[in-house]
Amino acid sequence: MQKNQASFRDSSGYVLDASDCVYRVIMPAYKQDFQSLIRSGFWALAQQNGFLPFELLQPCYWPEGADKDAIAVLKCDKLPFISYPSEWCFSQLKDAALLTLELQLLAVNHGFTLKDATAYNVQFVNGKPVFIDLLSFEKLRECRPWDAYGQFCSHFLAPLALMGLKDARLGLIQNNRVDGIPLDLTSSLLPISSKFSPGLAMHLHMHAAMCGKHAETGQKAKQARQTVVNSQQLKDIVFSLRDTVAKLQPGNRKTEWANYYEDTNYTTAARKEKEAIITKIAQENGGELAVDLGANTGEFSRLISPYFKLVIATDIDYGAVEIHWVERRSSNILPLVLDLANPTPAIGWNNTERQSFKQRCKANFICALALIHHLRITAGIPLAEVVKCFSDLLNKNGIVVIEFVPKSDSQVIRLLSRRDDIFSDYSEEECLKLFAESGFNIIGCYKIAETERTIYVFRK
Amino acid sequence: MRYSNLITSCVMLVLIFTFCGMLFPEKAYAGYLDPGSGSTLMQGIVAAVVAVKRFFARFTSLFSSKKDQ
Repeated sequence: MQKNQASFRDSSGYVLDASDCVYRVIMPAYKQDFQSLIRSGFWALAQQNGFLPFELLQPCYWPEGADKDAIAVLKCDKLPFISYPSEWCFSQLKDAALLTLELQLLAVNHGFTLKDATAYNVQFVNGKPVFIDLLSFEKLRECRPWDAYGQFCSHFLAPLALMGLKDARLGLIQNNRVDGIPLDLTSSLLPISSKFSPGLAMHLHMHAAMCGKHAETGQKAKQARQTVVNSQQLKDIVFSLRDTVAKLQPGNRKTEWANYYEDTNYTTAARKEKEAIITKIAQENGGELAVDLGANTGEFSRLISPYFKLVIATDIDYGAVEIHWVERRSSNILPLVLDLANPTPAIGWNNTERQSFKQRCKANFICALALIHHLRITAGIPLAEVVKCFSDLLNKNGIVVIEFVPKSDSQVIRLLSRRDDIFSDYSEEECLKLFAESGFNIIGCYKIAETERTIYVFRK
Repeated sequence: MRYSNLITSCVMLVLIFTFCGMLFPEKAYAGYLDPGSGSTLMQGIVAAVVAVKRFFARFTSLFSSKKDQ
């Protein structure tokens, strides 16, 4: 049983990670709010509106590691994978933002409020956003402003505005900022036209100016602490944020890889054969978590998804992930933005508060179709390192499926046409040797007809 | 036309400041998240702007409903 490394800011409780479930230990600091939430039945109502289901445990079932002063322990299912906001496309972040606002509205209507509004409180389960921080609600103190207003703007509105109005890749700033994108930075990066949107002008530009002006303590800080906002005004603030978020739309959808499937060298027959091979491999090796690396809009993720609890479909391209999420969503596929050559790092306090992609991903199955040549030739990663990376992402006995694209393939010829070929390790023989040296056993080999390509299956 | 716009803007400003003024009586609170002075003060302004917007929407709807009748 391990205490979750991200669970230390709020004294209301903490999270214990078990192998098959998650415990949330509630401390005396949360007693009054906890009793109000139980009495009012609000938690049950919230669960019908995107709040993670949980079970209140009798003390005899409390886990080892629960504090002796704890007042209650909640148990909930362990999610197969925890994703981070920097890995979400625009519409995923927007869905998470709207869920947070809906829950805040529901809370205010029932005499509660969200005490924090970080994007890390939301995960995607069965193709829908789910709010996972069970202790985020507290009793609404009369006339008190929303403490999490600034946090909501930094965690949701700022990245959404930057991704929608400037460039989707600006979402990656979140990789460097554990508490959202600073509003002054957002304000300086946004186009001037954003100042003519009343919502953005108010919640981002004017908000950033106010934060800059009143950053120091003193008379204004005292005045701020005396600000009164009644429940109707709280709802008005949420309505205004909701309108502002709803109006934002994803920007540059025509990206490098969004139309990938229209630009491959596969014949229809070869493509069908590849699909049949991948389906058969997945069927024989199904399990909990599969990762489709370089999934584009998820054509092959959908083929393997019936055999896994969850498929993470990663791609470097925001446009492809956006299309996957908006137009081709499946309940057990989670599309994520990920550059495998520069994956999500560990950030936050002590570099342990938010884990790296590698720390979070322990898969049973990795699918890397037509990916290795890009890692080797475009990103310059030696094949030995690529094999090591796959090994790190896999559980014991995990399966990795690769599609090897040789140098004679037209796509590799195209990649090499603009540079010198310095990639002596890029050959099928060397690749097989490296997998064997890293402890993988080859369990399948399929030549794809009408192509130069081969699909290999290895077991760790 | 220009004068009516000017008068409308002035009325809106007066109402915003009036609402902001109503939002600062003596009241203190404490919480785990630092809400930030700027963000807290900003909420007063947002609430006032939304209230003014709603007031004008209601005001104009009075005339439009009369017109419809």
